[in-house]
Amino acid sequence: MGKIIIEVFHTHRNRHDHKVFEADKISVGRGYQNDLIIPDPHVSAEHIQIQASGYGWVVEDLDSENGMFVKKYGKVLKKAYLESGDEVVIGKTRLRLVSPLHPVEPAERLIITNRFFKKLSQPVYAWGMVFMLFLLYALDYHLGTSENLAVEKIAVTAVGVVVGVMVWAGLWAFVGRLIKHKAQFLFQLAITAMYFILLLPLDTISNYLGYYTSSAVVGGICLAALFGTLFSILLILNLKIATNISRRKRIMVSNLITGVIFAIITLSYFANKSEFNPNPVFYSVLKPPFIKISPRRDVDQFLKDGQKVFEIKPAKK
Amino acid sequence: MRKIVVLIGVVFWLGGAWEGNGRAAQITDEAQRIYQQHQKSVYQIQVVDLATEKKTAIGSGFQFTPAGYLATNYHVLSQAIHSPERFRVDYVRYDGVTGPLTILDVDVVHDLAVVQSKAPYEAYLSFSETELSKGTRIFSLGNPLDLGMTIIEGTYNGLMEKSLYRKILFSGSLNPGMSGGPALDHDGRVIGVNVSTAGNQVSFLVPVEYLRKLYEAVRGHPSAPVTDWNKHIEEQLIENQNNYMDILLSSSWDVLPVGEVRVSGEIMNVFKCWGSSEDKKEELYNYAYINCSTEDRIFLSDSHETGQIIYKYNWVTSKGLNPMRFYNLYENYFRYPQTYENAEEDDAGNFECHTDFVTVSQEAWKASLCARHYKKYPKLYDINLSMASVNKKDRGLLLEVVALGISREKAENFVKRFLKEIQWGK
Repeated sequence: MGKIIIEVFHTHRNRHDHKVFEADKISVGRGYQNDLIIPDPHVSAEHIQIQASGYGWVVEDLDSENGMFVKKYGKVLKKAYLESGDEVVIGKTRLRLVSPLHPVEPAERLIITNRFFKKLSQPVYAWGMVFMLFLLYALDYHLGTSENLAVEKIAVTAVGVVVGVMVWAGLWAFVGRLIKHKAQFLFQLAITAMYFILLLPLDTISNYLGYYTSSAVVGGICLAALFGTLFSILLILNLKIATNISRRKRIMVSNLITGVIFAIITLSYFANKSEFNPNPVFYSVLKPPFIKISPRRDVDQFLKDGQKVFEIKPAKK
Repeated sequence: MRKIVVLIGVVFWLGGAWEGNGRAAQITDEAQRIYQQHQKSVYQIQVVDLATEKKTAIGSGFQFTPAGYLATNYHVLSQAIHSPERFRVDYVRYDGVTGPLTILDVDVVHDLAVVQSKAPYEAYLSFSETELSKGTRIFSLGNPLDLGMTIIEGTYNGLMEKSLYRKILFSGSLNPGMSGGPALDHDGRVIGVNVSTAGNQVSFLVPVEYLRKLYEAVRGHPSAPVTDWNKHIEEQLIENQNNYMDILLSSSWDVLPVGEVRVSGEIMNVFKCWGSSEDKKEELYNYAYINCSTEDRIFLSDSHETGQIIYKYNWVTSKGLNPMRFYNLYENYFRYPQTYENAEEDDAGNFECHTDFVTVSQEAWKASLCARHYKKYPKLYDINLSMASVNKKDRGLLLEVVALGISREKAENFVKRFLKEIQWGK
């Protein structure tokens, strides 16, 4: 006598059961005399019969009201030969027939195996990251002012960033606690802090690129691309640590969120941009001459290139 | 930076407020005599909104020929010129009689207009042929604030020397509504037309010679009245600009040291430079700025003025700031150019800019050239050139050139010449 496992997917209830049978012949239907009772109103009292045959099963429709749809053939059939893993749909219920030897995917790991991330989630490194974050933002604030500010004042600004990072990590830890029953706060904290630490050099790089090319477009696109990619990666990691969703879904969700944020920023920029601006706006970033600049253009060439500013664009209706 | 803004404010305010508050000048028997003899030639000019049949602007005017030609200011009539379908121009005579006026021609640069009444009255004023000397008593007539015809006694203080568009300095108090009224000598002859005030007995008159020229132009084309005012005004602006730009570009320019750079100072006597510097103990940088501009602005409409040229220098030096901190500060100075309040959406397009590195006097600069066109006068632009030297770690010169209502060719020539004058090194 062979063993057969039938996976029942109740589509309208979004759950599935496993039924294990030690029999060669199994009757399926809504009636109580069946071996497998399906409480689906679209299933007939005696709907199908499953009969073991060789390595698989012959499934036969018992003149049911709605027939039997065989997934691998993509049509309604009276009789079909199924192997382990094949599916039929009766009424609105999907049945998957599996033999006990059917292979399964290897288990997903609960604990992080990546050595780098593992180290990162140790308290010393996580808090070390936060401290580095604090120092970097304090330095950035200091470089941005021309006044010699008191240490407290600089510290307060950097503390603001640190608190923000901790709140973000805390939220994800809460999500992790709910879904995985495991908060992993330090891990969330470490990667969030790393994200904010990386933002500073990326911002500088895009500013330098924009400055050397004299183009707001280059600077802006570079900044958006770097920030966007990095933010997506942060979300993917946050989700990986806090939830069980698959890798594909994680990437999709993260990119979607990043995309939506960019769309909102772009839309609000255009919505708030007034059609008439009385003042000139140009890309005004200036950077210290760590590399000496020797422009190839003299005044005549500059004015020649600049002739485009005198061209009158047709007014938009 | 705040100080610069305040000073610019002062310059603007001095340059062309159209109204002011002054003390009433003393009235002598002579004023009484002139008023009685000539009040019949002076009119109130009203711009009437056709939709409401109410006046929206008032000014004064005077008849100067027996044929019913009246003179007034362009700025009194500007609404009627730009929207003739919405406004009408009326006169009100001393005895309350009103009638319509036809606009014949304008001189937008000197703010004059000649209009004609279909039913001329017998009284008129004639032009003075003699030159007055400083200190001569003169009399200005007009209808201030719609309060009724008045006479103001003041002093002739000669022609303003530092002005692109010559004006008579009149020490008396002109008030809104008196614009376009006549200024008379003691024989009752017209020496000028009331035009504007800077407050406190500082007022300006348009010399009568410009009215004479405009009248000759009117007589030159009696059968072909102006139909395209925008084109006509544009031509006047360009002609005027060509005249003074030719002089400006062919003269030798005054040199001014700013930090380590020699730049142009008061190019012609029409430019006035103001300067200041700051060296505070607690600050980690010094700056010195110089701000030069012409004080003349041409009125085009209530929302649109033009004709001014401004240039500014700002020498910033570090007192111990590291290069990164210094350039953050420097960038903040560079980021905010001149604010443009001379035109609104109906008058001008948005600025388009071109930004690049450029070599001037063997130094590397970041430069941005911006321009916007005038919608009614498409050959004219407002331009802005903002530049910052970028090869010194602890000091730099920022400069800015602003020219309002300039043609493309003249803008390029002016900028070219301006940059040629820059010499790095003491």
